[in-house]
Amino acid sequence: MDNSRVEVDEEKCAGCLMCQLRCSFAFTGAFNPLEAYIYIEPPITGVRGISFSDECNECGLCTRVCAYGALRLKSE
Amino acid sequence: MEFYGYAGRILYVDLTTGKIREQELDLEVAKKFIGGFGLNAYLAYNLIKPRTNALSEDNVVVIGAGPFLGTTITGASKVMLTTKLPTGVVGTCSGSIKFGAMLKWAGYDHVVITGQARRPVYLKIFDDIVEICDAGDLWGRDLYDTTDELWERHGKTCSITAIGQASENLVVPSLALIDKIGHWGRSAGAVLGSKKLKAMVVRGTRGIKVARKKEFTKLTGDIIKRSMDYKYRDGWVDWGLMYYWDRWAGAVGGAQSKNFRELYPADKVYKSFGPDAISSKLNKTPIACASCTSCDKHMVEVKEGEYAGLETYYSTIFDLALFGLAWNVTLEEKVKIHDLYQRYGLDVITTDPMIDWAIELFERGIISEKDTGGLSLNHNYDCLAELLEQIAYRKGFGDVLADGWNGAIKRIGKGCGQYAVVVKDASPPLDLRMGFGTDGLDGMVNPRAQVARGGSPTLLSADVPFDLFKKWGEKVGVPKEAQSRIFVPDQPVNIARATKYAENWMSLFDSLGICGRATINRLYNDRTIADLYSSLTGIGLTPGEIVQAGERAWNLERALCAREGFGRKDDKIPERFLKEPLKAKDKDLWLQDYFRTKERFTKDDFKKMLDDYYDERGWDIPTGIPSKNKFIELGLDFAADDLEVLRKSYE
Repeated sequence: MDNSRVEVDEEKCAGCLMCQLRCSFAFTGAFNPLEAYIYIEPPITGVRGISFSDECNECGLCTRVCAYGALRLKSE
Repeated sequence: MEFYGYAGRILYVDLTTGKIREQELDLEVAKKFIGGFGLNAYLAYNLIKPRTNALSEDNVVVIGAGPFLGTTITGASKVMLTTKLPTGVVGTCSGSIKFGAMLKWAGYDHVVITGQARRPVYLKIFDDIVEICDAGDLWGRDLYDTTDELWERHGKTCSITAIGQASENLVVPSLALIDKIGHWGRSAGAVLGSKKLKAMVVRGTRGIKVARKKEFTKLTGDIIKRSMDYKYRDGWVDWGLMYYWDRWAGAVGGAQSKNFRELYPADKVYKSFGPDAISSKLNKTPIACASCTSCDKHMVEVKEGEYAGLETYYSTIFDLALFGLAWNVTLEEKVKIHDLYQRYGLDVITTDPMIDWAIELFERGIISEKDTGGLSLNHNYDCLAELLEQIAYRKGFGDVLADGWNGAIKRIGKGCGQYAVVVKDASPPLDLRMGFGTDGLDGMVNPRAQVARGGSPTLLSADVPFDLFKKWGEKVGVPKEAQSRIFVPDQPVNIARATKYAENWMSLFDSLGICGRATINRLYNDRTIADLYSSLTGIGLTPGEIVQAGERAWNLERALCAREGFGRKDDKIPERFLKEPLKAKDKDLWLQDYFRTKERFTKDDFKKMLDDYYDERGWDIPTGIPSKNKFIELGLDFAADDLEVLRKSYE
């Protein structure tokens, strides 16, 4: 699913999983990255990819913890 | 029972019987012996019988992921492995990337592996589904290839620990790699090899709960912001430890080469292996461990030439400027050699100095082509590549080096040991003659020898001013009464006594699971650590109590080693550091104290340093064994009597 509020630059992702951690904490009540509404292909495995599930409500929490510039809020 | 911060379970896997069971975490024990270093040491003390053969069925591997792992606490990715190492000590190796976090998400704080499989196996942990799987088709394959195959088989969200051929062949200086990049080094790989455990694959979806969410979110949010606002962060992410090049080069002037005989000057290192050379010849991609906002790992790709397209992984690309400086190789060849190290699963920190040493023995005529099967030992690419293969497969002369320092010195004989720069069967990665601070002394007394631990106030820097030392002391919780012994105005800081608190701090980091890199370490003090622990787990600990948990764990590991016969006699400085200068172009660098108050640092100075260190620790000064009183003070009553018996046996 596309995200109308979040600008994605997959090439910058270092794979720290902070976005998945923050998302799952907000929406499942626990740190559980594989249950998050955002999914990261681990760059160490040689693949690149950031995607959002249908449940994502575009809250933008993931952009607040991305330290590598892979996720940014689109300018209004 | 509901657990917060902790996953709440310990997994036990017996490879001999195939029996798998789990046990609920006892929180009373877990808060006293915290996480990857603390509870690992406690479990090891109870499970590893003294004098166990490291490569036998009786040895036990304890893996621990501390309470901070698997959360948004910045830099919390350290996963620890404690076992009897083939070097003779019971030691704890520190790995990273996502293995520990995945274990937590799968519902386990610790994994205890006992026994020995009859055939090669790998362990699969997918939440509650834990299986010992056949690894017959993986045995003999290199470490990267094994990891790729398991990612293909089980999906790329898994975290994978694997060993290469060196560990399969029980090579002492071998390692296991987590996701191809995180190290469990210093011969931990050989222990896994002896158990015929080729790999571990983990994937978790059970999650980790937080006791006080609002407070925890505020605390972690502030730390993330501080990390991102740090003015050097972007440069660090680009270059990692190498970003501090100027400080490092200015402080120490270069790095050791040729078996700790010569200083390879910083300008030459820069030209061959510095940031400009790397940028022109390699593409590099930053790789982060779980929850890390300022990563230091890189995947690199050679741009052109014979090795164009070669992809390999660096735990830190600073390794390029630290190891193998005597090699007559291009940057691309150096990357290829690193790739061989990684694929075979050889530990460069010990293996590289051993090769340097063997070359010196060859130059001195102590060994000849008769001993090496016709191989003329030198620093050229072909010789190095041949030696690495021989070591990994225990072929020819490589079989001698594969036995590690103690084994090789014994097999070669002829007084070769006098040229070996070795501490407790391992090599120091840093030369004390370039600066002998708290990290240097830690390297002499640490069970795993010097490991270039972060968190030390003197690591990679010279002449730290008095005020900064004091600030560091306050941050890591040095008690007031101890400050009066360490920080005396108008006198040099007492490095020996300060070492205790540097070690306790890193012991606490290892326990909780926080990385020791400078960019992470700077984010925390004793108060933030205590607040994070309390809000995450719901267990209230004061700053003093949590710092003491670090001290308790360090003392228990010391006791584990004392049971193996280690003590003051093993806390020694390599003779070459004491007797010879490191030869630089225009000067000789002799060993000096950290503040360079005297021209030469002598054996007597080291004796005084050890006396002060043991005294500060509350250990028995003649033997270096923790005293009964100290153990009772730390709540380690169960081990206090054992130590008393050991201490008396020295009398």
